[in-house]
Amino acid sequence: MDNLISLPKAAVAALSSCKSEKKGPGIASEFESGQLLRALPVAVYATDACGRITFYNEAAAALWGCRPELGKDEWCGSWRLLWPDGTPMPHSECPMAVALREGRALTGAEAMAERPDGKRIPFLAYPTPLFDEAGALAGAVNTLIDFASRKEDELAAESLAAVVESSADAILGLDLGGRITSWNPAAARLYGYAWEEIVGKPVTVLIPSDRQDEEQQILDCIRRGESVDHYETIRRRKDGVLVDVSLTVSPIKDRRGQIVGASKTARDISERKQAEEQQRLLLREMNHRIKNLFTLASSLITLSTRFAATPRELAEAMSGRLVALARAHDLTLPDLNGSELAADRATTLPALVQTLVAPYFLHDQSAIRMSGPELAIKGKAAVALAMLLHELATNAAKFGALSCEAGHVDISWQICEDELRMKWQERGGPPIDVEPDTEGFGSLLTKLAATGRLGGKISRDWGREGLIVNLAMPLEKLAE
Amino acid sequence: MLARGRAILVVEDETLIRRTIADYLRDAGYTVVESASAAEAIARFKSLQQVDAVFTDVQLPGGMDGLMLALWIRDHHPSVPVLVTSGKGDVAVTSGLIAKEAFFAKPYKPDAVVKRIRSLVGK
Repeated sequence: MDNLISLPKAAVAALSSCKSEKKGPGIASEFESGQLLRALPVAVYATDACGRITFYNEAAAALWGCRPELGKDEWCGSWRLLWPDGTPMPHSECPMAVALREGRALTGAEAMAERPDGKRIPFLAYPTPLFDEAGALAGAVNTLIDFASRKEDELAAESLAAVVESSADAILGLDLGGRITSWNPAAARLYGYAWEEIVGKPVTVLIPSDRQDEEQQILDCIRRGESVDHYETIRRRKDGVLVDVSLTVSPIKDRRGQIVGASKTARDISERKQAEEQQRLLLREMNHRIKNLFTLASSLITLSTRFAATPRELAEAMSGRLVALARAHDLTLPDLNGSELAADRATTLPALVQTLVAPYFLHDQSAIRMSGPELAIKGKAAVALAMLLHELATNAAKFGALSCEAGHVDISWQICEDELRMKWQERGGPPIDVEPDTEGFGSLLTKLAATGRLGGKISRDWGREGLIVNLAMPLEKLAE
Repeated sequence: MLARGRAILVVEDETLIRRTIADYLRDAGYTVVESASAAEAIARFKSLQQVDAVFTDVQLPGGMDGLMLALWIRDHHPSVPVLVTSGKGDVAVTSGLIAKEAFFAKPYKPDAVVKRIRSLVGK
């Protein structure tokens, strides 16, 4: 169907006025036949002075999604019209109707066509009234510019901008010369520079002096079209503080695919780095402690061997001592969740006594009586005191108050100025008629612990009622 | 002839560990002086007429560790060999402060320490 019924003569005349300026043959006839208008990729249509559509090209039909009836449909060939905000627009108020009614051209009037399938096409209208030689309104020609794709691009750009603006990661744009071209709020937070302070500056202002060569290498990658993923490095804030970052850098290409710059995303990994360092320190400290523990266990075995009469006696004694050692370490292991990862955790004297001695009173908790104030004891002092308490309890269980049902032990302590005074008093055990041999390893161990690591004094009184052990230790030794 | 009289200074704050290596050295015929800190070691060092070798832990209580003690001995008694032990790897060796053959990683074999001391100061 030929959709060119009749172009207004004025329009044809106007268009044909180009004839004398064109050199090619047949141009005027092309205009007159409407072939040229029909071939245009831009939507064009014309009306008579009353607004009845007299011509439209294929691009207009495509935009509308329908074909108006020539000579009958008025103002605009679209199925429905809408204002830019989506409210219905009567055809009689469309830009073409306004142009015809007011006899003036409109430039870029915005409206939206709704196709029969419901799809909406935003467009800009350029209706121009046409007048005959006498100056009377002869009709109008309208050009419609579909800007749906441009609108989509704008929306996509706005959406992308919002993502960049709200990103928790610093995102900056660079040109190929390494100058900063864009800068999001997260970048401002990370590096301390406001947008106006930094855009246009070389990115090297963010790079510590000993890492300046990194940027050239990154830009070289970008020029080759390569990306840099999760490159962990250090950058310098405005206040000079160095910050650990993970960089991801990608080339930015223009519509023709030419690399015109780079986008750089920087994630602050300081906390992760600190956590890794803390973990490394903890592992090193644990490694050290384990080696020390093995050395201590080795020493215990070596020394115990010298005193044990039989392998069985050695095994029993060592088993108990190693358990005591383990319990003391349990109490003083660093807090794995805390900030003082490599530091000793202090235990308290009541906790230590309870942990070391309680296993000997499983059947009668009343057999142990503890009294004394809370007192913090750290690492090696706790281990030494644990060994000492273990030996006293073991001895009581074998030969003393805990070897019979009626026996009990009073453990009391008090702080006198800068000294801890502790008393271990056994009662109700077998009567002691002769002072036992105190040359065993247990005795040596208690003496070594009390006078060595604890830097104190120990005395034993073998009364008939039971053993009394008095200990005196400087408080400063318990905190080491 | 027994070497009792060769004096070995053992510096270790863990009493049982110190006692163990001291016993080994005594059994090997050496006179052993025990110290629990670097300050105590220096005091003992100064009070003795002769120290033939030192065996020290790196981690010691107080402001002076075993490596600082080794440097002090190198400065003040350069002829006295110093053997070092630690559970913290061989930083002492990699840093160049201590010769590899003078370092014993914890847990060490007391026999190996005695053997090394014997090679340095004789029986």
